[in-house]
This record gives sequence, C-alpha cells and structure tokens, in this order.
Amino acid sequence: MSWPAVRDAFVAAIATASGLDAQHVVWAYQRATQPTGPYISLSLSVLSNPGQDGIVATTDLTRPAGQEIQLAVIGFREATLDLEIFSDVVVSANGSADPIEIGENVRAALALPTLRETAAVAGISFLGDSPVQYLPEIVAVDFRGRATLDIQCFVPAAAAVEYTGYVASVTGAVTVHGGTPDPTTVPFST
Amino acid sequence: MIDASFTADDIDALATGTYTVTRRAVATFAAGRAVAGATSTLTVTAAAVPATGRDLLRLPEGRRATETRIVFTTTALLVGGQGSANDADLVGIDGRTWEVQQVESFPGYYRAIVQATA
Repeated sequence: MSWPAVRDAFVAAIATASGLDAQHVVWAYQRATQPTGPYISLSLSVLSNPGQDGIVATTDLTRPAGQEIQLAVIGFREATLDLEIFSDVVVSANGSADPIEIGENVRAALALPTLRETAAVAGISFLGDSPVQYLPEIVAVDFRGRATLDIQCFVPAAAAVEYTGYVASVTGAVTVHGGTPDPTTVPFST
Repeated sequence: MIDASFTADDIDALATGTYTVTRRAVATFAAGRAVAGATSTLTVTAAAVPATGRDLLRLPEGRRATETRIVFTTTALLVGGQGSANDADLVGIDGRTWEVQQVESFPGYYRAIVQATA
C-alpha cells in the first residue's frame, strides 16, 4: 500500500464521517488558501512501530531471470491522525454545525462498519480517539470555532521490496577417478 | 502621516521599472491536496523600494526575517485570504519572486508589502 493511497483513504473516511465534501477535508501545512465554510485540516503525527516487520516471499517465474522471488516487508504502524476542525459557526443550530458537533459526528461515524471496511481496504484501522477539545480563536474581530480531535489508528508499513533469483535447474558433470575408463565423466541435471 | 498630495502621477514619475505580476486563481483541493489554480500575468509600472523596520512590524512575527520590499503602483495587487477568489499575487522584482502580503489602498495608488519567496 502506498502512502498516497493511505492519505487518500484518510481523506475519504473523514469526509464521509463528517459529512463534508472533498473540498473541505484537506491536509494541513500546504501553501494554499483555506477553504470557506466548515473544514477539517488533517495531519499525521507520531508513527510508531508496535512490533517487528516481517518478510513475505512470493515466487513468480514470469519475472525476469534473477528476480523471480519477491521479498516484501509487511508490518504496520500505530499513527495519530490529528484533526483540526474550523467553522465560522461557534454554536450549532439546525443546519449549521459548530466544530464540536462536527468532531463528535466524526468520532461516532468512525464506528460504523461500512466506513471501517472501506478504510480497511487501504490498511487503515481506527483504534481510539482523544477528547474533542474546543479551542475557538479570534480572526479579525470575531471568534471562529475551532476544535481538535486526535484519532489513533493502524496504518500499513511503507512498501519495501527487493528481488532474488530462483534456481530452476543445475547441470554439470562429475569426473570420477579410479574406475574404468579412468577418469569417467558423468553428466547430471536436476 | 500620509502625504495626500502624493498622486498616481508621482508613482509613475518615481517608478523603478515595470514588473510582471502573476495573478493566481485560488487553489482547489483534490483528495485533500492543494491543486494550484490557473495563472495569468499582467505588467505594472511600480516603484519597488526596501521596506522599513516599521513595515516589518505590520507582519506576523514569523515573517519579519524575510526580505521585504514596498511596492507602490497604480494597479491593485491582490492578497489571498479565506473566501478570496485569488491567492496572493506574485511580483517579479530583480529576477526574484515576491509574494504580496498586505495591500493598502490610497486615492489613485496602492502600497503593497511584498516578501521574497526564496
């Protein structure tokens, strides 16, 4: 699983869970103007390896000679997905959600089986989450709603692959001394 | 104190040259990644001069160590911002690219703070 695919799956999961469209769930720290309306800024932090990575060997004789066996690393990382939720709405009303409500919606929706199954296709599984913290900020002369939510999850280890050769057959000849005739050459093949 | 007698004609008279401005449509997002908007260019006559220490104080702390200039022009320059249709204009000065950080509008001319992007 590639990192871009993992990131895409995170965006899709959070968009579905929050009900926001794809223009309003964005990765943080990019050089771009913020979206208008409620939006969620994502970042990944604290990737730890809770175990030891393994190797999976697969043989494919159609690959070029010397590369028939693929050795691929498998493993997973425990990661924290940081959500920073922004909205001009500071108190929810019918039809307009404040960041606390959006955060709680995300947290609740991440328990839904269909959403988890979709994320699992990309190797993501959600483990738990932090409290939703409401941290409004002043922009110009008004408060803007802001909340944070950290989600713990497993993500697949980065793809690392190397190849080794497959020995299909060995041929040669053994030379035997002391027999008749001397020496005797015996060919072999496996 | 603003010298109200300073006019658009003075801008042209004091101009340090003509400069290319890159105007950028606001970026959109695809799968959470920013996709730069379309760009167009225009040429402006302007006076580009070094910024003063007081100019730097008008910028966020993290931006005060970046090389900064002041651009006087009769053409409005754009600053990006949430809800804006454009990202900040880029101005080519002395072979380098400068991003517009702040613009003040005066009768007949504009005073922009621009900062080197690299």
